[in-house]
Amino acid sequence: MSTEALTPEPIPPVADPAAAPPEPPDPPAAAENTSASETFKRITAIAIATVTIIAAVVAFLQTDADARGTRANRDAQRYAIEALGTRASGGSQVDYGWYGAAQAYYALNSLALTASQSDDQEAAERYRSVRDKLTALSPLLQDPYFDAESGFYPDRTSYAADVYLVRATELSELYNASSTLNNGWDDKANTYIVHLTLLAVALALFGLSTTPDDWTRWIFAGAATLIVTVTVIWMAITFFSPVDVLNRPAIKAYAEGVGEAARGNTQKAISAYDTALTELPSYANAFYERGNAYFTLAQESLGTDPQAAQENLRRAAADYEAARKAGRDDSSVNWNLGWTYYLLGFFEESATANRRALAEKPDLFAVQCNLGATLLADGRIDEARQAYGTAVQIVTRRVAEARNAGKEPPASLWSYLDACASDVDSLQQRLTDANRFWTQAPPKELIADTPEIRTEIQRVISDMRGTLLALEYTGQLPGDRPTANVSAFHYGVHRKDADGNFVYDDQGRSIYDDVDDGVFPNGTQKVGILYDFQGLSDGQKEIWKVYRNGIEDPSLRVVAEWEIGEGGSAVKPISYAFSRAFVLASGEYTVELYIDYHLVQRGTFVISNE
Amino acid sequence: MAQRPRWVRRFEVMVSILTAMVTILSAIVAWRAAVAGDAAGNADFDGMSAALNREESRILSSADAYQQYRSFTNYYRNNELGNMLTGDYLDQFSDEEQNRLLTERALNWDQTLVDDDFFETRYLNPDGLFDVQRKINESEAEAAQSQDTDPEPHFTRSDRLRAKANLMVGMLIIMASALWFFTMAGEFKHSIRYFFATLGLICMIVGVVGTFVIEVV
Repeated sequence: MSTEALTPEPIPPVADPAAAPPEPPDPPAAAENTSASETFKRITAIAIATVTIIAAVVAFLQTDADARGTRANRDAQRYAIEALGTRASGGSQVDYGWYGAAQAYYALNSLALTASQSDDQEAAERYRSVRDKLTALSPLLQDPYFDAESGFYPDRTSYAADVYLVRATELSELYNASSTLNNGWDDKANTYIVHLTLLAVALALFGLSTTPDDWTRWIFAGAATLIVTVTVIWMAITFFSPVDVLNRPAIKAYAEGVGEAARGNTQKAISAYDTALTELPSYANAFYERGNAYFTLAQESLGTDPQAAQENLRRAAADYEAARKAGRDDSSVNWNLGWTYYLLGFFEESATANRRALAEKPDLFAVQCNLGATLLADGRIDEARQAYGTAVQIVTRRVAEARNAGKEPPASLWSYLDACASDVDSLQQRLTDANRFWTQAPPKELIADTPEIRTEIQRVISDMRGTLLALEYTGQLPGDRPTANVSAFHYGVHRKDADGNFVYDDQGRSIYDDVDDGVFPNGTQKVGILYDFQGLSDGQKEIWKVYRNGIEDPSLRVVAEWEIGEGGSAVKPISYAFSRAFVLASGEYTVELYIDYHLVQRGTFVISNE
Repeated sequence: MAQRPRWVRRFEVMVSILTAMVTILSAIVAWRAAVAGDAAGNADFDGMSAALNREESRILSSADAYQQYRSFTNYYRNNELGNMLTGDYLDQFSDEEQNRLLTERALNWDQTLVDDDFFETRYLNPDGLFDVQRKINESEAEAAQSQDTDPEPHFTRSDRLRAKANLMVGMLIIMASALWFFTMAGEFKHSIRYFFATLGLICMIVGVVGTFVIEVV
């Protein structure tokens, strides 16, 4: 038996009867904690239920706003489709009236005239009889659009206004208004979705606040309460924020105004726009169109009496400015505003408006030209030159881009480029007191008049017109200026013998008698442009352009190659001599001769009314 | 802790069941609202298709009718020019002139035979004029036979369905109110909880009946 030392078992300590027993939890405090926690959870549950009601209300408002937006969007699409259909089907009707009935009417009228001048009165009567029957085929050939006795063509724009323009304009405006309405309600609906999201976050925070029993629950509950409070306030603001309403009376009055303007009843158009603006004082399109109507009124006296036009120009400018303030600060408004300020002589304001238009659409070369004219009139030659240079660059680029893509540039490009030169021409007319009814320029006393500016005006007219022709025929800018020297034009009439027959020389060439003052009687069929020339060579491109009252008559344009040698004298006939029925209409004719796309001479003759 | 009376526990269980029920019912209402909203969207689409069809029909009918009207204009002009050279009118001319005019008349009338191939002669009125409006109306009626060209019923239906969806979502507010009252009834130990429970029950019934009425009507 081994004798191992016994290890005594550890003896558990004996509790010291004198020591204090551990403190039991304080029954009232625990109960208080439990009660507070229960109360907190109870309040949280009520808060969650309350937020649920708020969320349901927001959901209702969101659904309502979304429905209104969707409906406005649908209506917008529907109006757009109807406007397209109205324009297309109405256009067919008006086109028939013009290209079908009216063309046939005038064809028979022409036959009657020719027959009458050929002393075949029976045939003339037959043609007239059938011609008159054709008036039954279209309202365009009837009252109030046509008065056969007046000698004027049928009023196609009035007819178009009645057939479709007013209705199509109304539909287009309804489309715009519905789109705005859609945007307004969509914004509201989207904002309510944000509210719903915030409420969901608040609900989550309320839920989390019930998990811990310590002070952190107050952070969750406080954040949730804050979010709910902010959301409810935001929701109230959103609910009471107004959304544009569809103002049908204003739109109807506006469309009537557009129709009256198309009919040429400018004052009635202004009254209609007034009504539209009374109905809807922030109607930007009505301001813009009323501005255009005042501009139309101003045009009537602008050429001959710019002072008389001032009042209407000021009204036009005020309306364009009002359109901008009402939200239509686009390139069209600024384009017109810039031109109106220019005509008023407010050059700084004009330049600013033009630059705003260019900031939106830098490719608007016509606005660059307007800016150039403004700077030129203001005496800022270098800046004007830069503006015109930019305009030419834009046009050249656009022509090149179109042609490289196998396409054509827009037709308006040529007319705007021609207008660029015509506007500078008007400036010259104003400076030289050669005002015409079509002259559009600022009052003479406001234009900076120096020899340098007059020279620059001539250069711009020549450059712009040459650029136009070169781009139109070659797609390139004109080359070097030719050495051609062409004398000032004289004008003459083809000589007739005692029996009224035209007289020719022994080589069969017409003989012309010079008319010193360049004024020809009414009924003139042919005018000869008499001139001397030197420094030309055969094969050079020769182009004649004829403007009647400031607008080119394309039927009188002549494009040919020079073939009459280096120097000498020549006559260029401008005529309808091939016709028995037609003569040169009364008016002022400006004839321009271009050699290799450079303007080398221009002059003016007049066909009088008598 | 003292045990709560059985009827109190029964009340709490009842409130819990009602809370669950109102939640499920709310989900059903939301589902019906979504279905109505979706149907409204479909009706809008159908309406837009019909509007497109109608405008296409208007444009094509007009274009066709006025093209025919141009051909008729040529016909009318040639026919009337020929008609001028008939009967006693020719007697005033010499034989040579008469022969020339007869040739001219033949040319005019021959031309009408070509012209009338390019319009539908059944639209000629007794007075000899072309009834272009009848031609347009018939073409539009023809188009309406083969395709839907009336958007109005679709848009009316869409508006009705959208109103239905809105009302359904409105019912959710009542359901949420029921939920709120049940919560109050569950949390309060005061006898007012029976009042809350009753209000909750009323809201729930109104919500259910309202939804049913909206759905059916």
